[in-house]
Amino acid sequence: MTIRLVFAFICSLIFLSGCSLQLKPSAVEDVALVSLIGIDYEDENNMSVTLAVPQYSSSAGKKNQVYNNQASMINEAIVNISSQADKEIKFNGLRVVLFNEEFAKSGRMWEVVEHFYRNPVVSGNVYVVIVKDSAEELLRGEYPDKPSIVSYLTALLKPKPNIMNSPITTIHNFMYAHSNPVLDVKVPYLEDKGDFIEISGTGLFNKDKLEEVYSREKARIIQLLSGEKRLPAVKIQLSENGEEREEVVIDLITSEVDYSSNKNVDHPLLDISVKLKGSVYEYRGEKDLLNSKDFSLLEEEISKITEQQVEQVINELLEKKIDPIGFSENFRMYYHGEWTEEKSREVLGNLEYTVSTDMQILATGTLR
Amino acid sequence: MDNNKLKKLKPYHVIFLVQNSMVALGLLSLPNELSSMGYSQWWIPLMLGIIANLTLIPIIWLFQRYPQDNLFTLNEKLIGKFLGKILNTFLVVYLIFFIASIVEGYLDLIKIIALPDRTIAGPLVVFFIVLLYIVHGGIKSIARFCILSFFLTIWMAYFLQWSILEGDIRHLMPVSNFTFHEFLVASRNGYFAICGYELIMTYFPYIINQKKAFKHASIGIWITITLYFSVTVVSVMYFTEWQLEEVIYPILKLYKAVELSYAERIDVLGISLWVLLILSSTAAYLWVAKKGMDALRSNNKTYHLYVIAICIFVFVMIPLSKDFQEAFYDNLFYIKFSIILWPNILIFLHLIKSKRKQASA
Repeated sequence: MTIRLVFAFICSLIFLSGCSLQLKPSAVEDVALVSLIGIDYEDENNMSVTLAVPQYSSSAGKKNQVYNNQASMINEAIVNISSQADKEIKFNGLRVVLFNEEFAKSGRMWEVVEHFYRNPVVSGNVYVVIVKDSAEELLRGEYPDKPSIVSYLTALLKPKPNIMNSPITTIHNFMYAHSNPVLDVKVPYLEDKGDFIEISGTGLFNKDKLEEVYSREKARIIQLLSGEKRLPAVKIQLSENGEEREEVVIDLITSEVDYSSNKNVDHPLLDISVKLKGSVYEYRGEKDLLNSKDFSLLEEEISKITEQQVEQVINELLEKKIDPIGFSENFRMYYHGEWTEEKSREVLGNLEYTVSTDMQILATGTLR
Repeated sequence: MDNNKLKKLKPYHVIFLVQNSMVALGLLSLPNELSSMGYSQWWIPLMLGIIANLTLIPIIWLFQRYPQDNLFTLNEKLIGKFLGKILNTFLVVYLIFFIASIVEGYLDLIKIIALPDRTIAGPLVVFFIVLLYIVHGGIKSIARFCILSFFLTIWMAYFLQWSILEGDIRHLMPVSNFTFHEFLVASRNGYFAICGYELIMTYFPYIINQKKAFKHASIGIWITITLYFSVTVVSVMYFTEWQLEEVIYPILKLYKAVELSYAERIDVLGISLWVLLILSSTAAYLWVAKKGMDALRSNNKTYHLYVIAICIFVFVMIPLSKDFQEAFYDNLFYIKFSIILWPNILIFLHLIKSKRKQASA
């Protein structure tokens, strides 16, 4: 008897829930999965939001559907766009969020990123990038020899050793750096070159605002100092004497960086040691690489040049008091008490450092 | 089956019963609960484990002296029938609220993460059908379900490796940047996640090898603590202090870091598999509540189970304001902690009683 009663109760619950006047959850074919979002600067309060959705219909002329709307908040724009789109807009498949340079400089970028970080359906591995001119133009651009902007951009930004000159920043990385008192945000910087898109550098932030864009060569040093293990091949010019040049291209196999601080916040001193291992396949110059003396001379010269490059970049960063690498973390980890952003800037202001680099060439290929 | 025998829990049943009734919702937000300690929180689970182990000693000591009794019958024996019944009623009501809080918390989560455009009534009914089915089989069936859910979910710890790779090990430096008050807040919030082992007070009479129950229960506790410890260490490495404070379910963010070429949104998989952990602990609690009801009415009827289940169901469905809910569930902690410490008072009463007996004899 009791079992029947319970059964009847449960049944009534199940069937009564069908009486509710809700819209049914949407089926897969009625959903537009947004892959790319571009945010452009409109004015102080407004932004222009562009969505790119992969095209499902084969009869449509273009590879992607692109929608655009202006609003002061992201969700507002999306509601507006929903009234233009043929399907329901969902963010479950989001891959890349693009910001234009002006928007990044306006200091509102983190609000938008935080919005996506909060959204439970957005994956943590969505990439954040800065675009030189207009994100909308980049999304609307025609890249005739590429499959579609969605798959092209996603594949371009996928972390692989030969693009590691620039950081790959996900939403999590962005929020991590932004909320970390010892770190400033760094974001890859893209340029639309007509037929193709290029990762041309790294945007460095000071607190909320984009302050500086570094070229790939300088950004490589930042990546090296951030502890990136696999870096792409690098050309190093050893000397230049009119027509005569001595140049070498090194395929870096591993790179290592080690920090040791004096644990003193008032007189901060940091020892930075960089260890590089790589192989040389291209060399133009006078040295005979079979000769062990010349060989070790080459290693020394490369170390020295790297050292100079590293020092130059660090000096520039310290001058501007921005720290995408996290130098002050080496002091925070020994500091008893609350660590604030002001403290980090203070450390950066007083920081003295020494750099030592060690280059080891492991191989020179299969020819003598 | 051995439904008629009283003693039916083998050592491994005890281990996993203890282990799995501890892990439920608490683990999902553990790094957030401990966030008042900032980066220094990573060793807190170890300390809580030691406390749990210490509070287990009086529990086992007491029940080894009353091998046939559970908490409810022992209450009646030691503090008198009338007071005991009042206390047991209170305990059953508390258990109903407590189970409701777990179920509601989990369904809220499902609503946010996995089924954002549905109401929770449907999943709730399905959840209860499974729950009742498990509890129907008695404590041994629950223990078996605990073993099953442990092995079906433990492999998810593998997904932590992505976060370890991205994390910064320098956050683990023990610089103890916290005040005593922050430490107390963290321990209080963290202890909520550790609770669950005290249910052994009810299924102790069913254990075959009662002499070694302490050892087996301790193994169960430390399996859980190891799990908690690894999760907090990884979270401290992967998040900043701000994120530890603001992100409500850090485990989900850890899952979101996973990059697999053939699967996306591992967090949805994780949160769906979590239902096994929720089921196993609510099943254990529900069974205990049913035992309490049996003791109250001095008989053993199956419908007690349904009455309690309906009470929980109704309580979950009543729309209460979020503020009230939070304050209410927050205060459940103190009851929970006093239940864990309750055996100490019972021991005191037991000693008085046995002294009196000696004196009269």
